[in-house]
Amino acid sequence: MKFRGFFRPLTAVLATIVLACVAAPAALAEQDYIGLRSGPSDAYPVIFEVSDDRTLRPLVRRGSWLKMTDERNAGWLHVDELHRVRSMPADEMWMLINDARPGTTRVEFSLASQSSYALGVLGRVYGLDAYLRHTRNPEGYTSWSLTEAGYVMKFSTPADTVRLQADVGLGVALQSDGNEYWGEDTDAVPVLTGGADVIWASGRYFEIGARGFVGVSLNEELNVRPGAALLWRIRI
Amino acid sequence: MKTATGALLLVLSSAVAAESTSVYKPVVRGNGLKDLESSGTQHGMLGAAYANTLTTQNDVAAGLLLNARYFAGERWYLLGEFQYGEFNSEDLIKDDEVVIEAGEDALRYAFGAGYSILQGNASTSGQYAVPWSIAAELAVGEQTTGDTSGQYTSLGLSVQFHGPKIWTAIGTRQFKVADERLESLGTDRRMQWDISLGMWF
Repeated sequence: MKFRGFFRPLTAVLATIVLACVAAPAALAEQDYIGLRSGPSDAYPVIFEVSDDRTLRPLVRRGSWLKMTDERNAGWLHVDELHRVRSMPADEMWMLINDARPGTTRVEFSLASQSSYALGVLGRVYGLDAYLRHTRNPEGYTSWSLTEAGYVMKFSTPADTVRLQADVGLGVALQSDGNEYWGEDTDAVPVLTGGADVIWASGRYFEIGARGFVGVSLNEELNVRPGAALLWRIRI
Repeated sequence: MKTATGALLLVLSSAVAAESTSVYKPVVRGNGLKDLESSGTQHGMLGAAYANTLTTQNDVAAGLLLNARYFAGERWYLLGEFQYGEFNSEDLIKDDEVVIEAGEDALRYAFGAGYSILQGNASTSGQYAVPWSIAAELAVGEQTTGDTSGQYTSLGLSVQFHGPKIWTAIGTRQFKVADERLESLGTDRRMQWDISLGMWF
């Protein structure tokens, strides 16, 4: 009977140890640490880590990255990692993710043949993809420029990040004195333009492409001016 | 008894009716998003620079360079530049003829793209870290030199240090201007460098 009194506390202690051993790995497995980087890219190193239950507050967003702070340190976190921050409300997380989505309007720069360059904007107008482009060609003492607008038609996507598209537009060319690129007699010449593009979406916000185009002056001379361009676009 | 029961039912029915009218109060429910504090957005970098242009047949030409970079993802950014400065301090002569008189100004603007090739962290004490980036930049635009102008193209490198409030960069690039007048003098190409200081926007 004396032994029974001795074994009762011993059994309780052993049971507690066994329970602690079983429960401890489960508790450790649930703990998640979030690494915050020194800059807004995976290339930057993780400068500190916080547990997922720590309250983090966004300071500023750059593209798809957020600079977060726990009021002591600050570091960058990609929006795709926001779901790991358990302290962040779901509505705030989705608002930040939506804010980081790029828009459908594109700004375009291009380096074209005939020593010209161009600046353009592409976007949706009444459900159609439209563009507005200004091309300029400085030639020493003279110059010409072409302002055009038109529609863009996507006709093939050979890969997820590559697409082929064509465009057709109308524009007005202006020439300085002595420049006869689009016509001999008039300063302002109406021009019909068309082109085909190969576009590679190399990033979420960025596209690079090549473009072949032709412009036809709608005057008596009907000058046909073909060309090629290297272009880059940003989604804003 | 019947009278009492009828009176009780009347009281209960009026009470139920009053309860239902007080419950039905339709209001527009918000999801609370408007109450959330919106974090700021860094769109890009604005800067001013001291720039130098080096060509074979001309003196070193200093100028003021204003630049803007608009982020397009983690590594890509759009680039805009505007530079103004004196092109030559002495007459530029070819075959005993002055082609460009001393004191002509050069004005150029260019647009392009940059790609951050290398990114890392700089720290001397280990307590304060500064992210850095080395980016390749391609730009195209126009340079007006006195009375003539030509297409400007450049390809270069920019070494940037990103502070929390400001940034600084050192840039160098090879350039070419498609201007026959400059080409005839050998001043249409070579190298430019600049040192920039700027802020985020």
